[in-house]
Amino acid sequence: MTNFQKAFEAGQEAATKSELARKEIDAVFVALREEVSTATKGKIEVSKHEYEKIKSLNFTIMGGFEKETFWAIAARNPLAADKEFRQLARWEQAPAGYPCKISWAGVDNNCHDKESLERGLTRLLADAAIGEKLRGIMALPAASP
Amino acid sequence: MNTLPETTMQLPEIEPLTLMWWNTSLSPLAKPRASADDKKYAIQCIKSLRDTFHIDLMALGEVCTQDIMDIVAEINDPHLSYHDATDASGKSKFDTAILFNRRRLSLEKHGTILDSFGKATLKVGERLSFLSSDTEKCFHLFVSHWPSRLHCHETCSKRTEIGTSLRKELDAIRSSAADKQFIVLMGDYNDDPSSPSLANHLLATRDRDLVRDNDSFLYNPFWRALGESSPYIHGYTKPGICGTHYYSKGESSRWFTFDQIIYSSAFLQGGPFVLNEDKSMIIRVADLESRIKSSSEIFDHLPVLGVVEITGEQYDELPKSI
Repeated sequence: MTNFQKAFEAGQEAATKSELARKEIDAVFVALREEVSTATKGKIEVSKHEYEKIKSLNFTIMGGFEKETFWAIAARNPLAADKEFRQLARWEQAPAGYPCKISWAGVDNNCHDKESLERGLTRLLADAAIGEKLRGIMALPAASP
Repeated sequence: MNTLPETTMQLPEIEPLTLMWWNTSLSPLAKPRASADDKKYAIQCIKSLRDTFHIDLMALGEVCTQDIMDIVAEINDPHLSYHDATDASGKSKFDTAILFNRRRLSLEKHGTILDSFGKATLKVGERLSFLSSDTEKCFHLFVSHWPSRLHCHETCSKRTEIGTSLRKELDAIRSSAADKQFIVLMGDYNDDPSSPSLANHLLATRDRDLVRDNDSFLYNPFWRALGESSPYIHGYTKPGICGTHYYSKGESSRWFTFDQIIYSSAFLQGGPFVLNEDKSMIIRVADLESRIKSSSEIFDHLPVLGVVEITGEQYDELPKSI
């Protein structure tokens, strides 16, 4: 016999778990942002950032090309004149929070929990090419007072 | 009445694309362990298999960079290219490599898929895109060497997660293109075709019609290789095999079909690449078979072969290649 009450309870429990996982992921990014900002005396702000790209060259009925959005881990220098975010890695997150995927330099790293996410982000920051990119962002001319 | 002369021109036949996977046992986790004699034997096997089966692409497992250099040097073919996907530098070690005939295939793109759980990082596979010079069409290849069952049991949730991650990669390829995508997966999965990771999470099935009708599924011909290679006939004493990997301490079987080559639905639907299942098999080399059963040897896997026919349909589109 169908047990709607049990199914409802299971759905609520899953929703709670997903919400906790998403909050946990956001907390990891807050810690990342704060630590990197401290280490760079406020010259680097790292966060998840949403971008738009052209999906196809077909015109939509509203005019313009068909577009889609994607997320990236991006960095900017809030003290520079140019405050644009620069992409460091692609970011994908499951609706339930985990797994989340960090993609850069030909590597797709699926992280299944908080610890592996922290390790994945650590690997990203420790990468030589990312290090150079961040150095370039830090060196951007400062905003005029 | 004048009639036009019948055209007798015949289109040249294109050789099939022949693929091979072999877990060489030379350097598990890219850490060398083979003696000079072991390596010499493995290289001899690879050379002989390459010549016998006209192999265009071979993926090798349990190799290190030095093994790849030695194999390539010994084969000594200027048309042979390779992609070294080994990595012994980090905490997680990776030990696969891909050798290919650059007259027929060009490597367009490659990448690595990792799954991390806590402190552990497992390699789901190496992803490569090849362009075939015969068809001017692309196919995708995923080469995997999944963790040993000694470290990650068949029922361990990590195995099913790896299967799901690989599945998602395939879904992303399928959804990024309007036409059917040719995808080959090969490797040592340390799981049988019937294991949940492959059958339920990767969706690699034995049911060809289901795969043809629904391209979410993959076709795994190695379901055929789960049992004995030939039926029992009293008095018939030719030794058989029932898998690709031999583990003498196996509880309910000493044989396992861990080495497999799996195909996307497009390979069952005609042109430009068509699976030739008749020629896709476990390669039986008598001497290697006796070595893998010997506890004093390092070798414990047989190679597997996959054959893909290049169909004539492509000639209409490729007059310049005639």
